Amino acid sequence: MSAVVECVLCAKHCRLEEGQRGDCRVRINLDGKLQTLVYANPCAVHIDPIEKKPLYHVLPATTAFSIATAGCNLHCKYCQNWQISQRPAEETENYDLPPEKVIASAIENGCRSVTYTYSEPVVFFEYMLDTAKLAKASGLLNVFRTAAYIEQAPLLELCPFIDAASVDLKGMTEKFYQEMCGGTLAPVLDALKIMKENGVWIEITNLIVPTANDREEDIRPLYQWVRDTLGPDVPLHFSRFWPQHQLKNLPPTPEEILTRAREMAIAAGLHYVYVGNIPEHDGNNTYCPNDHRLLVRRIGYSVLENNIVAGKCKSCGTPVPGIW
Amino acid sequence: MQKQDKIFLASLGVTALLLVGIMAENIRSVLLPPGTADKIDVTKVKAAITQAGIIPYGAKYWKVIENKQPKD
Repeated sequence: MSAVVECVLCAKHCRLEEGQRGDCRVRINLDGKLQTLVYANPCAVHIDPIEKKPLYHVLPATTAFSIATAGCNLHCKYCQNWQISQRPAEETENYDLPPEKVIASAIENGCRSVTYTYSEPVVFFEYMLDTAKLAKASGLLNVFRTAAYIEQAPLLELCPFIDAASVDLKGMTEKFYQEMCGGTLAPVLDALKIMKENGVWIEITNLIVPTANDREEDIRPLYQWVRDTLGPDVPLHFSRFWPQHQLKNLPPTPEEILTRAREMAIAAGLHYVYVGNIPEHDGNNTYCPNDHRLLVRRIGYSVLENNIVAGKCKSCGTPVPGIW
Repeated sequence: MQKQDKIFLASLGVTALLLVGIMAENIRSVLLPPGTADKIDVTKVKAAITQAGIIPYGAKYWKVIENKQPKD
């Protein structure tokens, strides 16, 4: 007797016969049970500035102990980490790093947070969850860097241990998600709402890809949804596309499109809108939404000036939301 | 019949056989019911995982949807 199993971790609900693996490549039906092939087997381990995630409202100028395994449940044509995200665990070079070692290494290296990142932490859910529990108990923050393509039940189990999430909202149409990413939009929007309701600090990143999602009518629904559903204090990062993976034929996003997107979102009422992947752009900085003074000056991932004191604007006292 | 003619006919025969094989495989894949996957050699899959030094770990969030009798 062999069992067909259904993975219900993400919206794909892969049905797997004996020996088959899911769309993520790292969850497999072995002996009638679903097994993960990436528990405690990260293929990427780095110490990054937290600004790289990007998270601009979480412990500025600190470092995040960052881990990732092989696999992803989406297949974005522009993936920047396709060498690990689109490969099974057998084809990546992996470390033996159980949760206890992650925490010890993070503390030893002076990191304030552990970030589950690079590929897609949803596919290494069990490893992330166990590590996050230990990190929380050790006083470290947990950061979820994700496309948020996850079902409600696992997300609800994870939320109590996650402090901040940097979420890719890739577009605002089902067509974009289906054609560009091999997924669907609705579960992502649901996951964002769940995280917000459960007290996870969220920052959203939208990669603007020339000819794919760079028109004003593509960008407008996105910031309107963020403003109306999550609130104007949720930071939104418009990020520059760089030719990668299957979209090497496209040019990098013109700076003026990113600048325009930021201006439109601010004019629509969002308080914190950033431009990413263009160092020295004014959109790298944080400004007070009340007196418009400079709060945090950044170049790339470096913080050069910080005028937030005890979570407030140093000059006018307006609270600045985030984890400070 | 000259030697080069025999070689030509023999290569033609091999080519024809290959073409028939490819067409049969294509027809078979079209006629199979949707969702039917080729049988996976589980022993090979497990061996590849072990060879890569990977130890499978029990996953969360899944359910059994069908128990199948092995087909001989």
